[in-house]
Amino acid sequence: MQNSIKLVPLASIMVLMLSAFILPLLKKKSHVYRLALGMMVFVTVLNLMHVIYIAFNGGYLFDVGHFPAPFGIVLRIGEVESAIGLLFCFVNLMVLWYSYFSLEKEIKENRIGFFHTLDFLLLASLLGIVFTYDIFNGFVFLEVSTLAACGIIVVKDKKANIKAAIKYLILSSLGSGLVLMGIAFVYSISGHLSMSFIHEALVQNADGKHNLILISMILFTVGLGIKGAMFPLHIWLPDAHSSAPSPSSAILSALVIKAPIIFLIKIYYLVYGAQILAGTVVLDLVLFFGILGMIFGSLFARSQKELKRMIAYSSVAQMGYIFFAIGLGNKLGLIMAVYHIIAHAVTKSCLFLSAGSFIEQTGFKTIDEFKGIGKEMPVTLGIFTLSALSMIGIPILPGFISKWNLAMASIESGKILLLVVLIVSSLLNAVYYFPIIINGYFGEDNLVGKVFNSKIRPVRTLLPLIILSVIMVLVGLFSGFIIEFIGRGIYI
Amino acid sequence: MNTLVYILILPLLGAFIGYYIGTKNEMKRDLFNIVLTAIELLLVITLFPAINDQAIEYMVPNVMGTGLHLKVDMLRYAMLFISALAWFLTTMYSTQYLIKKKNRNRYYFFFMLTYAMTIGVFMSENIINLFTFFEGMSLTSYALVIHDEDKYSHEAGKSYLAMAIAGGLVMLFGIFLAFDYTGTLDIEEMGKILPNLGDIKYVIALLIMFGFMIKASVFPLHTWLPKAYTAAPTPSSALLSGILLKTGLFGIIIVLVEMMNYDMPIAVLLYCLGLVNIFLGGILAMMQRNIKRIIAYSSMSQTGFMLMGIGLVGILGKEGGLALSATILYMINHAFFKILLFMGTGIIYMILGELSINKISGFGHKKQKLKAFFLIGVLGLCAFPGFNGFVSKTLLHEAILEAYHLTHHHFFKITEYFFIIGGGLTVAYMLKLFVAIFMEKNSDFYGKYNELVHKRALIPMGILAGLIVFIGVFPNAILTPLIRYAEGIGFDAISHVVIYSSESVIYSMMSLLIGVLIYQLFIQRKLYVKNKTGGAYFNPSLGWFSIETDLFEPVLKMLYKVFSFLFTLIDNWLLFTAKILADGIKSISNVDIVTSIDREFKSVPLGASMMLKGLKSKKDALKNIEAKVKINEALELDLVQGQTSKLKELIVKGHSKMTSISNSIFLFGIVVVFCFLFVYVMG
Repeated sequence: MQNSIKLVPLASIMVLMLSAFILPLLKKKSHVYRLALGMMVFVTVLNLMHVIYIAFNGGYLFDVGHFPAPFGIVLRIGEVESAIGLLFCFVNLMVLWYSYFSLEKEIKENRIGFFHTLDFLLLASLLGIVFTYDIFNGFVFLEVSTLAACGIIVVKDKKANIKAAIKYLILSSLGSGLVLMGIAFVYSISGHLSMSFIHEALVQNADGKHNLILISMILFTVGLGIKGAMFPLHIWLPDAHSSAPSPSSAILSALVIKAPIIFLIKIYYLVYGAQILAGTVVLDLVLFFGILGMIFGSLFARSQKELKRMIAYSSVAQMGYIFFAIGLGNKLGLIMAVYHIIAHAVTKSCLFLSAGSFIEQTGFKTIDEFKGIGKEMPVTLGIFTLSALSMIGIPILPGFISKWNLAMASIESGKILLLVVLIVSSLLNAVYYFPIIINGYFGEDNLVGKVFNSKIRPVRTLLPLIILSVIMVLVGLFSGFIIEFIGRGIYI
Repeated sequence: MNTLVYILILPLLGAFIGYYIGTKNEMKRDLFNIVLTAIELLLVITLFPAINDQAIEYMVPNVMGTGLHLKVDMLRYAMLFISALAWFLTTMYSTQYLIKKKNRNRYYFFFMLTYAMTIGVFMSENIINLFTFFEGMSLTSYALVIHDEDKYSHEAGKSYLAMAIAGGLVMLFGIFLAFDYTGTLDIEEMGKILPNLGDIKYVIALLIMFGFMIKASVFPLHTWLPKAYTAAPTPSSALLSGILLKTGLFGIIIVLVEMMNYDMPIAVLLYCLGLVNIFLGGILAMMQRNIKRIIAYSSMSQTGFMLMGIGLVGILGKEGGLALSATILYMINHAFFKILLFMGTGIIYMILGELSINKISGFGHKKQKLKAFFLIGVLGLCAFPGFNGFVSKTLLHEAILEAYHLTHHHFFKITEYFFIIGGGLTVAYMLKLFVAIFMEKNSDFYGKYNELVHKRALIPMGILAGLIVFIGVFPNAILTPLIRYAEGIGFDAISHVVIYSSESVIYSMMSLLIGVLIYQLFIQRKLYVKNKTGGAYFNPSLGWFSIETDLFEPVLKMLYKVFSFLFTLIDNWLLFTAKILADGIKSISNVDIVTSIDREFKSVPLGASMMLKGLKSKKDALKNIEAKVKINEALELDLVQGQTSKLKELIVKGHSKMTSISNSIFLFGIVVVFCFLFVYVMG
């Protein structure tokens, strides 16, 4: 039993990869859906059991193919990795379930199998990035995820999508180039690719190679920063996320930009280690970009006209919070980075799916046209409201928990002024989310001609959204447990 | 689980269950809500024996991030009790009041949510819990304020929400600072560390109090109050004034007494603000014609009395036990008579749809029950002997005298006179209201509408009127536990106070006399215009200086303009330097080509050189004329235009190009270089 449960990480990657290539062979659409959902449920349940196992027994290392570390590839599974793995599988399951009812309205019918292939490949590679303990293996998965992500953007073949995908591809390749160079630097110093071995070698040989280490750090930071939408390098994100079909947007925003950050955290703390890191100002750089992202992401979001673009820019701001948390450099900050990854993944997927639902039911795109939508689609706007409140940081909801603990973390690290940034960015969040909600529900002239429940979708089709939002509230409500669980496996 | 948790959870669940029932059957929902609030009231009452001896606390770990820490002592119990009672009565009253309104289900949903949040505010011992519930209360009560959804209520709602959110953020900042310096979130723990901190404690206390002061409508943060009270449906106005206002005062007491350990400068500040509130509120109330506005400004004026009480607690320090119990009693009393008055107003509004004193004068002349209940409320508010207001005002007066005897400072002697005159103002505006509605004769309303005054609306008013008289006649029933509480939390023992002494009655009569004089000499002569059909009041304060529109808005607008100007300046400057840089680079890279065009002009084919400069459209015009001259002219023209087309186009182009792929790559390069520079320069 013990040994078989340790197979879960590898098994979920393999199952996803294999089924990815079976899916396009199926002719009937319903078969595709059934197989895809079945596989996703299977993988999610596996990962849930795995998290429970980890909760009782702690983390472990897993040698793929029984080759030990310097030669074979090793997976490192701890509390953080297993939790993120479960999160990714769960969100993907919900998004796929939701797309069951809306996908054929957004993309051509013969692309549906293809979409699932790409999605499964994407998820498998993201899980790979999260689980791996081998730096080069992580890079390979990173490349796979980039290509698959381009695929799910361009699966709806409009002009805007192709443009966005090319932009993403080019910038992403630049990022990958930097990561590869970083790996080359690290390899040249240490002669290893497995994270633990590199760490030992770096600690022993650090003298005199300070500059080389620093250069490699910056290469990793910028390279993974592009993929993780670090503020000035976020330019690919709004185009890609707003033009893609809504399920793709949800996956892109909730999962794809999160995995590189986990990888970055792993590189910081498992490859270099807290000691080397403390001697540099790289974390201050990350903090600086995080702050910029928090403020400017929200400012840009405020000036958007299209709903999905606004939500995409809000992602930039939220990624700013995560970089902010990493940049604080203390334990609580790092825990909150992981917690915010979880919180943002569930919240943002809710936002994108409900926004997609508005767009699909009304045919409109801009924010102005969604006035009074609360009368026509009260439940969906309710879910949107709940998630928006979480983004703004209303207590109990996960967004508040992150902000509160981030405030605690910044006090802990002695940077009181950062509180102002946190409060200002919350205020900015409120500035662009509240008008949508208020105009959606209230106002006499907004509601003229709107018929109650006229555009509501059957509850059956809203179920995945409702489950997601319930999970979101639970993530906030039981934040104590989650934070404690993450704290057990955090790398400091 | 604990009774405290049940008390907190019950209305929260009730909100959702009630909403669900309401979608099926409204009658059942009304019944459900009444039963629920009654159960809640009973739960609160059964808590009393336990509280009477000592405070009870309960901790729910792992919820809301920091855990939920509940505590009920006598102060909190008093607030809980008036909330439970007020909600029970207003629920009963609402069932009749709301019959003609729409969106009733939504109303009750937020009504009960606000209830839960208010209960939470009064039970929290952890400051972040308190903040959470306080903000939640602001948001849920916003839905009550804008319930009518007309232009006026939206405007009021905007003002209400904006101030609540601003207050919340300021308060949060204060809480952060407090946590930074004390390392704890429990109010009691904070109270042990905070007073020893030095000057930073004033910053913390003022920041935290800012949010509470907004809710308590302390000058100059009262601007939302008259609008919100007038816009909200009457049961909500009653709660806003009766209970939600008290959350603000409650918070100020918590900060001053439990966190700051009776700090003198803050206490004096509160005391002075209280005086300002009494007079500003009182004078504005005299001017108004809308009865809800009169009562709203009266709330502001009464807040002043309570603030004076809180200030006295701080000034007297260890001997402020009497002032504290007087303030708590004042808060209880104010809830009772203010809710009663709002309910009376609501009945008039429900029947006539009109609130202006000129149009409804004489409405209540022959409606005996309504008149009697309203009169009891007015007498309570005016502190007439035998009614509850008299008790609390006498005690407060006693506390002012105590402060004078303790310090022998003439400031307190002077403020004592102000206190009595302030009471006179109360009498004056209530007299104006009562005489106009219930004493004037207006044959239009004789014998009409009597059947519209339902029992369901009168019963709650009757209960409140009974309580007002009860407290007035047996003040010790409620005063004894309050005094015991004050002594229990470390105040010196309080010598027995005689409430009905000849002195206190004389002071009360002085207030009354001043009130009647103001009414006769000022209101009747200056504010009342006689004409053929009778007469009408007018409101001279309409053109007065308004803090909101004349101070807050222009300041905010100015700030906004200054910032946007600065930002556009920076923006333009950036673009300008970018343009100069780009032009510079361009001119450097163009050096050869330009000179070669000039020099070897004749050898360059005409078409090619024109294409080079993008002059294709001018080709035809140039055909017949000598080439060299014309092209030089055209080049010049192009250059001039290039300079004059200047920034504006550049900005537009710049924005559209900002996100193009090639620019992205540039940006990427810049970021990489920046990162290296940053790390090497800073490290």
